[in-house]
Amino acid sequence: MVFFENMGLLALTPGMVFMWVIGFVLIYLAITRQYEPLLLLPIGFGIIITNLPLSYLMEPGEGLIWRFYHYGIEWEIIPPLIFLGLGALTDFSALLSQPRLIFLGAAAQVGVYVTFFIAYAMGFSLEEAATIGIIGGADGPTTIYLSARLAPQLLGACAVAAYSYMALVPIIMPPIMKLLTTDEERKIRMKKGRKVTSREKVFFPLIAAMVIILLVPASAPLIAMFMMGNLFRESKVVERLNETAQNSLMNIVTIFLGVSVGATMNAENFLRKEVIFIFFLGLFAFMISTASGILLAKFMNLFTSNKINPLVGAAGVSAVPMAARVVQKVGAAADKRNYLLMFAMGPNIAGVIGTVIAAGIFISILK
Amino acid sequence: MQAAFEIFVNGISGVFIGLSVLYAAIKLNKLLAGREADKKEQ
Repeated sequence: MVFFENMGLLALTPGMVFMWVIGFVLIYLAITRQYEPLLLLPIGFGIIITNLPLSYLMEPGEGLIWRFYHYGIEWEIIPPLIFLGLGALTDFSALLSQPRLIFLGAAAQVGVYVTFFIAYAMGFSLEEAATIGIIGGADGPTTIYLSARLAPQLLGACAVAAYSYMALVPIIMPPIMKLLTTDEERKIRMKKGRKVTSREKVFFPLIAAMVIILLVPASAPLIAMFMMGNLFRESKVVERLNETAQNSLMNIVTIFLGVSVGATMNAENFLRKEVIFIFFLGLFAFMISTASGILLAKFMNLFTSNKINPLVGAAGVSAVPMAARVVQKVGAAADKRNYLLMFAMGPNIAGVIGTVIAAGIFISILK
Repeated sequence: MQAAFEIFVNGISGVFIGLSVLYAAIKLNKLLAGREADKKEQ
């Protein structure tokens, strides 16, 4: 009977069933543990449906989800739109009031490049190594953007690794923070920054977009949208656009991003030993990024009387605002009345900009 | 390996240069647009 011949069930492979398990695990983590649910839930579902045989959802030119993927990610539309929303959600006051903290966001990119170098030495191509390294920036949309440009075959694995480690920030970061700081250092109370004027906040996205794009033109799609979103926010004259960028638009593109990323993870692509290396290297990148931010803060303290609490350096990995919250928590464990959250937001946001610059540099050299 | 090393060096220095210039821009921004708050605080 033709019906039985066309059944997907007959084309099922053990690899597909294994991928279902991965999909179910991500959905479980999203629902019960609330680990990055906005992304892991659609990614998990995308994994399951793309591994249902003969569904052709990712068939080039035909499949529904392939169209989302092709026009959304390959055409580089969704990650910049996510950045538009992030810009509209971001308050740069913490960074503008203490600009020296920007260097902690730069230090956190060391993990990206160290891991890039190691991944290349392990046999990955330059493009693949760059995509693996950027996981250390802990910025999901940037990881997806770079992967789509340089190594689309690794997109699913790198995106899941990035979002998984972002969700695991409260578990990964504290041991490194405690290992690299003394109890005295964790108790350092930082001086409050100055008040930032509303005019400064309006000028900043304009200046930042111009400066960064002039220096690293390849970062333009992400930085331009990020700063435009922030201009919507700070100008206070386009509340409708600001609200749309923060909420409706962000939610819509998140749906398409999640399901498209999940759908790239078919059994043939994903069940390879390289994927295990990607997860280990991603974790390594994340740890080095955390450590390098802390170490730079300690180094800066050698030259200043206005001390920086080194824990704040750990927030240089993007993962906004989770990394800053973890800094606050670890700081409060040493001194209950030490409020580090606002200080940690500075390097946290600088980390986002730093990761985009790092991705732009990779693209400009490798593409 | 040499290519990877060049990207490594270019990348790290590029990120620090990029954010250093942004740091200078923030300082300049403060000079141009931050005076309002200073006056109020005084």
